[in-house]
Amino acid sequence: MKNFISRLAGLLLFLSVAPSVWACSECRIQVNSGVYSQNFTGTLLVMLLPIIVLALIGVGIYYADDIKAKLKGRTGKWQTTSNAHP
Amino acid sequence: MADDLKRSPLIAAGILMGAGLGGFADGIVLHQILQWHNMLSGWRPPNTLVDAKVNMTWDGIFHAAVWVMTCIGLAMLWRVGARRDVPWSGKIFFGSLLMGWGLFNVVEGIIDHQLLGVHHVYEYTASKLPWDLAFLAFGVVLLVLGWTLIRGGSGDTMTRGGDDRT
Repeated sequence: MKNFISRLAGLLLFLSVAPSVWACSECRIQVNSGVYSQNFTGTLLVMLLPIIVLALIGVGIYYADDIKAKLKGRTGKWQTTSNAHP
Repeated sequence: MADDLKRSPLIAAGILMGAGLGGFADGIVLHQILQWHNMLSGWRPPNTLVDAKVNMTWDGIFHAAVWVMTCIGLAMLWRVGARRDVPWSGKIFFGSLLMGWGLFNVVEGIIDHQLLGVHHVYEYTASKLPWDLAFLAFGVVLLVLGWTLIRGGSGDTMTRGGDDRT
């Protein structure tokens, strides 16, 4: 596993300094300033919004049965308690 | 016994994987092959090399996000496979995949196309609305198809271990 991670890190390091990263040497600075501008965080949040909504829907459905069961249990307990003390 | 079965974890795994794969379909087909739009083409049209490359970066970030979502769905599916209270149903899973793809189109279509205008489905026309509505309609069709398949598998009771819980 350690071997794999170190090889992967080596590959990433190689890719980051490889000439392909500098494919547009003329416009690279302009592209970087266009992406990593002061609006970067806002744009990132806007762009990720649909993904976050979808992920929340997915996680909500994953636990839906457990949540339903818990809610039923609580309602049942409450009804038993309220019946016991009219 | 069959009443003890929980279907929602399998549906959730399918929905997240379907939404992720739907995102890849959008990115690969509409962003890259057809080049109808890019992630920020509504705000920053890719009319110059710099703007095209800025859009390319945001397309990459979008792909990274849908990749993470697909992986979360895969992890859920892996956990579901080990549970004896969740049916291992092909109909439910493939129905959920379709629902996920449909849900991606609807959620992304409403937020990005209609509310924010980050981009539209087909940028190279004066009337973008019909294309956006077609994208949404395709999503609704997928949702209905997926829901129908899931309902078709509601009688499936076999869990992954081969137990029949009827």
